[in-house]
Amino acid sequence: MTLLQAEHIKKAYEGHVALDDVSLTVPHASIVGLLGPNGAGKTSLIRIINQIILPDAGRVLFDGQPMERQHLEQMGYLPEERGLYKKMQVEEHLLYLARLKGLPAKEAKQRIRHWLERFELMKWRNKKVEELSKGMQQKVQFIATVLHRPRLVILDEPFSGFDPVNAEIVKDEILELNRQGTTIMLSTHRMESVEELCKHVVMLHASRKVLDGSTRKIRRRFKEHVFEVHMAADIEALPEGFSLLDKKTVEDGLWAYRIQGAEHLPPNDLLRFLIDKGQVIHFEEVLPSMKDIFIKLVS
Amino acid sequence: MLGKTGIVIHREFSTRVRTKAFWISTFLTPLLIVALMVLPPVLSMMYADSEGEALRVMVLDESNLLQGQIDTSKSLVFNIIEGDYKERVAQFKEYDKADVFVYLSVRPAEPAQPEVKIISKKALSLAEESSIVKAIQQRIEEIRLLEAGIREEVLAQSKVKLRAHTLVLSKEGEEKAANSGVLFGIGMFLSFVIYLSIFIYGAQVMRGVIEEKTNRIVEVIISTLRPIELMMGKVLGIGLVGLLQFALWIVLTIVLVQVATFLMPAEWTTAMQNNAQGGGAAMPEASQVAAGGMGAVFQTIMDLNIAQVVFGFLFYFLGGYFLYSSLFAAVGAAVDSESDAQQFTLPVTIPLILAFIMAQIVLNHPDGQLAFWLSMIPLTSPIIMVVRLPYGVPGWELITSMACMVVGFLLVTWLAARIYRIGILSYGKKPSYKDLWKWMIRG
Repeated sequence: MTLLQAEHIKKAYEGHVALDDVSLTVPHASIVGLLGPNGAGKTSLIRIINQIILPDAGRVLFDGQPMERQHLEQMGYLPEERGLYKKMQVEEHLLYLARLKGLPAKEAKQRIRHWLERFELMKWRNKKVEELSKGMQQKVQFIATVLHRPRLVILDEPFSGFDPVNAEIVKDEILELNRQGTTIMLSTHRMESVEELCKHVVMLHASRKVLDGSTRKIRRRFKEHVFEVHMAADIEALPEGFSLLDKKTVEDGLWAYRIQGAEHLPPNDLLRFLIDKGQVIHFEEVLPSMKDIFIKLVS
Repeated sequence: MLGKTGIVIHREFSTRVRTKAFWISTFLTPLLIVALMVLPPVLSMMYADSEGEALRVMVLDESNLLQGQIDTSKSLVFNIIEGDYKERVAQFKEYDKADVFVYLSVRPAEPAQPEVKIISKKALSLAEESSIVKAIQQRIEEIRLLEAGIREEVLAQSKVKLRAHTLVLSKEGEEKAANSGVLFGIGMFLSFVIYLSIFIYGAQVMRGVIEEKTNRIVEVIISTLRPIELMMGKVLGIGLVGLLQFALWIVLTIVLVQVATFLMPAEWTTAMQNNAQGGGAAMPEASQVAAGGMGAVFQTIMDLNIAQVVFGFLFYFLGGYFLYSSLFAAVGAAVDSESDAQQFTLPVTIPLILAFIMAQIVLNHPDGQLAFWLSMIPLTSPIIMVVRLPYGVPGWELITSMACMVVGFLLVTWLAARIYRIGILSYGKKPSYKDLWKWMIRG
């Protein structure tokens, strides 16, 4: 089931094209990564989905209906460049943003308490935003994004600015939201950070979509038939067609190999050969990272 | 119906009203107003009362025009001397019992007309100078009248103190008091309030927009409501702050004046009343005029079309504020920082400043062509129309002007919102006027 669909989106600013016929589909309850280098058009696409700007052509469907302003209450958006009113108190700030999203004040207050406790910010609730550390402010921004229980959460570079500990906390929260059925769209130029999070990715480059599909399938599609093997045998020769890329001694009597295969050569032939030579501890087909795939596509 | 704009209004209003700065300016301003009302007359009264304050004037009357005599008053003590000019001036420098040296002579070309040279140890005020000249002139005129055979009693009787009651005949045939000084004062005061409020609260709108833009909260907010809703929420919220502050100023000023008059010694109160009449406390005649004068002021105010003035003032106060603060909001959205804003605030404020300067001319011809046209242009009508209100404005003119204001407000807000919604997401490069024009046209 599809929650969000963008069809043939075009957007041009004076002098340059930001999006050139970009379509994408976000399945219900999925985590979709929107990848691409800076300037690829990610933020423009997100702003069009959020109705902040209008596309020159194409349309966006939410839950099968053309996107209207009323759908915005079912969406949460954490922009890349984010900020808060510095002079407002944490709790009233969250209340303000929640009420703008259509949440009644009473219910909003309960949920704010819940989230503040969850992020250990309870004792800061009556402090002004400017008194909080940057990490704490980012937590407040994250709370504001999800407080109204949106069906679709759009996160633009969600981990930028977080220290590793807080990045981990936020990642866990994203996964938890997704478990509860929230659809998440996550945009980033740091492609390695989303491989474990996103089951589905869309890659933009120079205003065009260059890739769209399940993370696993894409990585398999771009595989280069390289195998990583750890075994207790010193191998010199390989079966017909296979070649040794790299060989390292891990410890006494244990070697690590990188072996290049080819499309027509079944991996089992290699494995069978190796098993006859000694104890195989680890055998893995190395799949390219999103970053490698991107570089390959672009170059 | 306000919906989300209402939530924005609430935030803009409540966050501002809770600041210390709001309450400090709310309380300090009435204090300042009362101080300005009380201090000058009281100070000048004290000044007039203090010992030896009368100016001591030496008059060297070479041509004997004064015939050795001139009336001394409370503030001027004359001493007529004879001798050589150079010698006497030299003596005056050393002599500490005279403040002013006056050399009276006849003009060589017109022997009938005298002239004076006034030398003082410190610079004289305009009032002091004119009272010396007036005293001497009066004395000479008196002598000439006496010489022409007019008896002294006749001369005394012929002196006239003219008190003017200006009335305006209304269409219904009613006579209404219209002291032009008072009308002038009311018009200037009301338009000044509008002028100041637009600057103060318009700048707050601009600063608020810049704040939202620079701390980047704006992107989250406009993914929830329309840019124009956010802009109008801010404009209305700050407008309410302005109205509240304005109402508090009026109430607090009235209370403070009551308290001050209750606590003040009686002679201070009299001095203030004299001052209000515009005569200046030092003038001895002022107190005689005061009773009738204050009455006239009061009568003029009572005879004003109060409903028209109050309603008109509120309308133009709000209309002017909304119009200009939308422009200020657009400026705020177009730039990244307050220092960049200056380039654009100047053209926005020029019509307002111009209107305020023109107001002085309009006051002299409240029914002239200039007054009429400036009252129709929405950018200048908040000042010009309010200046004219106390003089009475024909109903059709007022209605046309207000209609222009409403149309102008809608048009300007619509254009400002177009700049606003693009500007608010544009960072980095400072836009040029050309860019702003494009944003406005293409939207």
